[in-house]
Amino acid sequence: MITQQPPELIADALVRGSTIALLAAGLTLVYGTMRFANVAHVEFATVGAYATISLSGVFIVPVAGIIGVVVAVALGAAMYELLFRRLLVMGEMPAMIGSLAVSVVVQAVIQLAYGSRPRDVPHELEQVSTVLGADLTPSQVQLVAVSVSALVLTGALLRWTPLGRKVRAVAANAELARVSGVGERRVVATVWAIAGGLAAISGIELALESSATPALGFNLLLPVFSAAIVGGLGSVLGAVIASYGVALLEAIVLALDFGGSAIPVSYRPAIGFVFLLLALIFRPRGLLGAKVRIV
Amino acid sequence: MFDYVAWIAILVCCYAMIAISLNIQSGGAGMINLGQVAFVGIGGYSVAIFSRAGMGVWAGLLAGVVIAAGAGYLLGRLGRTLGGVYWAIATLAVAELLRLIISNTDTVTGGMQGLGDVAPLWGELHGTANTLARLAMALAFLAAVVLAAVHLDRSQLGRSLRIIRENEPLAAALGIDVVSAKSRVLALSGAAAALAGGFHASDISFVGPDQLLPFQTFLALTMVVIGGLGRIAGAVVGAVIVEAIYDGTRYFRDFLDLASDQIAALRILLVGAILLGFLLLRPKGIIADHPRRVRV
Amino acid sequence: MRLFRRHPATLFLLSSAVVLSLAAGCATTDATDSAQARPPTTPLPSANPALSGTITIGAVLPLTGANATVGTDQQRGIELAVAKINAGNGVLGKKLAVAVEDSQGQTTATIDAARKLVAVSTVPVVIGEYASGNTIPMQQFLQQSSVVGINVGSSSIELRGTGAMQFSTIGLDDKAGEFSANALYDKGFRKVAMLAPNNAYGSGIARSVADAFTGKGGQVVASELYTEGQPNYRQELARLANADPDVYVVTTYGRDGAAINAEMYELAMTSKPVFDIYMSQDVPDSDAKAVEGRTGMDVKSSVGGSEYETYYRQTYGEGFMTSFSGFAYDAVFLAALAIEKAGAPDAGKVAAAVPDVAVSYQGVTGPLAVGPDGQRLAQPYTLGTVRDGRIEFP
Repeated sequence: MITQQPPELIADALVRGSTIALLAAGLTLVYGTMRFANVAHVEFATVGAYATISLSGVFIVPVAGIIGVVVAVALGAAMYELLFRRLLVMGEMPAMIGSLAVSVVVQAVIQLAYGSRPRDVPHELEQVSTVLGADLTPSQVQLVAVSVSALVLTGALLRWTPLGRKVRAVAANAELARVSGVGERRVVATVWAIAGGLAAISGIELALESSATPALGFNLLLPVFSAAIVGGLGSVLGAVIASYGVALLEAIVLALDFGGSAIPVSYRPAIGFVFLLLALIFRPRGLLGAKVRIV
Repeated sequence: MFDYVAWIAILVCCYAMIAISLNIQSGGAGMINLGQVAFVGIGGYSVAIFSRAGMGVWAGLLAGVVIAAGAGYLLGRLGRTLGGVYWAIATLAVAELLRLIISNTDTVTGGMQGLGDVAPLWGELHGTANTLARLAMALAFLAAVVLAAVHLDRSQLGRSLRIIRENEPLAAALGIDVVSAKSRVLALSGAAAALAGGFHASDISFVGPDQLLPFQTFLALTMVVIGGLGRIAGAVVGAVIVEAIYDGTRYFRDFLDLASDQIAALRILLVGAILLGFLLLRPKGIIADHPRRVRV
Repeated sequence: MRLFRRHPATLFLLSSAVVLSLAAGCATTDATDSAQARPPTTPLPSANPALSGTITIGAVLPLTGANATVGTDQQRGIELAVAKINAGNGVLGKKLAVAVEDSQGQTTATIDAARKLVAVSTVPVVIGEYASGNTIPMQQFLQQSSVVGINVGSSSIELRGTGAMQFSTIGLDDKAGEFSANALYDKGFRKVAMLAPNNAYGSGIARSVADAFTGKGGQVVASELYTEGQPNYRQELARLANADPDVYVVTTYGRDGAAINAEMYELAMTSKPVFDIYMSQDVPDSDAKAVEGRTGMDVKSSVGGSEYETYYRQTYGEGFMTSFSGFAYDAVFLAALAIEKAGAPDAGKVAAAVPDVAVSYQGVTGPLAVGPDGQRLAQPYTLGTVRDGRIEFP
């Protein structure tokens, strides 16, 4: 039997799912348009979080957050120019390995600068309030609100603006788009900025809700990739659905009570992994992935 | 002091074995396996579990190698035609899943605290005899793995794998059973890695889940890239270089005035930076793969 | 992306934003550190000039990582002991030196550090570590290398079996578990929910308390082992709350401890009684509001008022950071006296001398006499309460 009420399960899923969805959406968008499996994508979150925490001593938190996003995106742009573009010329796999190296280096630099102990924005202890039947702290409510808004905005941008249409065109077929003069460079810049921005927001919100460690992003790597793959690489909507779906699955499985004993909480990531592996075995192209694709 | 140098040499042998095992997959067949450390862990834990259960370290080593080979073969079968990104993420997920299970199963695997008191493979020796025996055994195992890799390289399977690496659809069109080839190389790769893991567990007399972190695979990957994809000698050279940097800089603390976790970060930074450097500037590695001479 | 080359201004602005945030980050750490003004301190006693030469022993401590606070405090205990010994007669007419290595709180790094001390510095004794998951394998390694080991911070009962040359200055968990279970039962609690870290220490103490408590007739309605280093622990805490106990029994340390204590407050769990095992491991790092009013137990050396406490306070300008400096202090003295009795820094002879010396040496943490398994026979514990962020002992 399930030990938690549906509102609590949904609340858990929303909080955890939002963090993953912001990252997965960006990752899948980048892969769709540039065929770049960027392992360092999650580091946008870590960089954004640490930048915000540092600046929160100087600016108020919302301003620090915005600057944090800018810093993360700027760093990402620089890395693309200097490193990723060249690696991508060599191929998909060298780029992926290179991004793994970048991820390791970014974590090391952060640990060098800030130490390995968790950092957080000093704040007063809050207490939970009951929202629609679930106990949530104000930070958690903020996390969900900001995340969902960001996702909705991104979706609107992709669907209804001319730039968004171009992005989707490139994601569907980069060669054709290039040939028909879609302006690939601009699309790449836009995608990179959106992906980086969403990821940074995710990291900042997570740090505000709990704390930041150098491994903040890396710990989310597998859940994020899982969600992106299960949703179908290249499909933002698929990634978002898969993110919340896996989060809900995690919440349900952890709430199961087998007559006195339950699955240890430490197994939470395992639930996502099993889901991913099953998906790869039985439906590699994912929920909403393209039908013709050499996987 | 000799003890300490020997210790580093033994570590290099272990890593070289792992690097070669990774190389036959990626250099051999173009598959980037981010979860290689899982095979190493299977070897290590088998040895530890068998040793503590009184069933003998050698039996444990054999069991570990066999189980890892089986696991590798199964992975190849289940993965079918997964390649590139999907394969990398899938293997990473498998390795992390294994690490989670091990970390949370107190009874058999010792959970987070690992298993200690693992008996050595060479029996009860002390002092210099002990060190020499360990070194000799490490070199012997490495030689075995190198021979196996060379044999694979020159065999029909090796040729098939190289074609698969360059152009998988072509390989399939030529009638090569891609899945079978991949499964077999994964089995061999798993066995080699498990051999290294089992030996290492016996060497430090301890095995724990923090030896199964993705960073270990990253180190091995760096060795392979530096050494040059596809070249066995390259993997060994890569192992020497990366180990020298990673463990040699452990004593930076004696020269630099930084906190220990900052020194640790610096060492990791070095390895990552070197990998990036090689990828950008010398992607073929130190010893690049050469076109094979065709005997007509 | 080419716009960077065309707009160096943008590039400049963005890079300065990056540099600014990095600098601000480092700056805030410095600010918070110097924010608390320290009372003046007395320098350590200077060495006796009659001593010539050095005898070195080793120590492996978690100077960085999750338990850095405890590791630093252990190092302080060592410093105090070394200064005192060298101000007196030294060891065998020579100065005592302790080579301290950082275990980083990781097991493989602990063993590597021990290996370095044994192979390169050739020490006869190694003191350390703190986490049972690190101390046990280290002592097993030391035993294989025929080097004496003295545990100063771990309490897992598995330490009984690490070897004939391995000792402890700190009492093991079965005693702490018994003491805590008795205290809980005497306070009238009958249903407890436990939280401990998922490692050798945590699982050991959870088992000790559970066994002792159920033995007295109580009931353990929930027991969770949390994985360390996570950003939050709400799931684990929710499970404890759902079990509806009379009291929450927690044992945590480091940043995880601070996070857990904060979350317990946020989830309104602090409206029920909380009993904290080894309070000085987590209370100093936690928010005062979150731990107000909780009760708990700790080892007796954390109680102030003794000569050692004065010595500590004068040197560092503050009271005990954790309760663990005393055990390290005692270990250094134990090692020094044993080397003195053995007549030489020879590991085998030192090991033989330790039990004899332990009987007659009255440590700052109490009587150090050890049993046949090298473990301390009597470990005094005490109950305490938290008021205004500080632990108060009766």
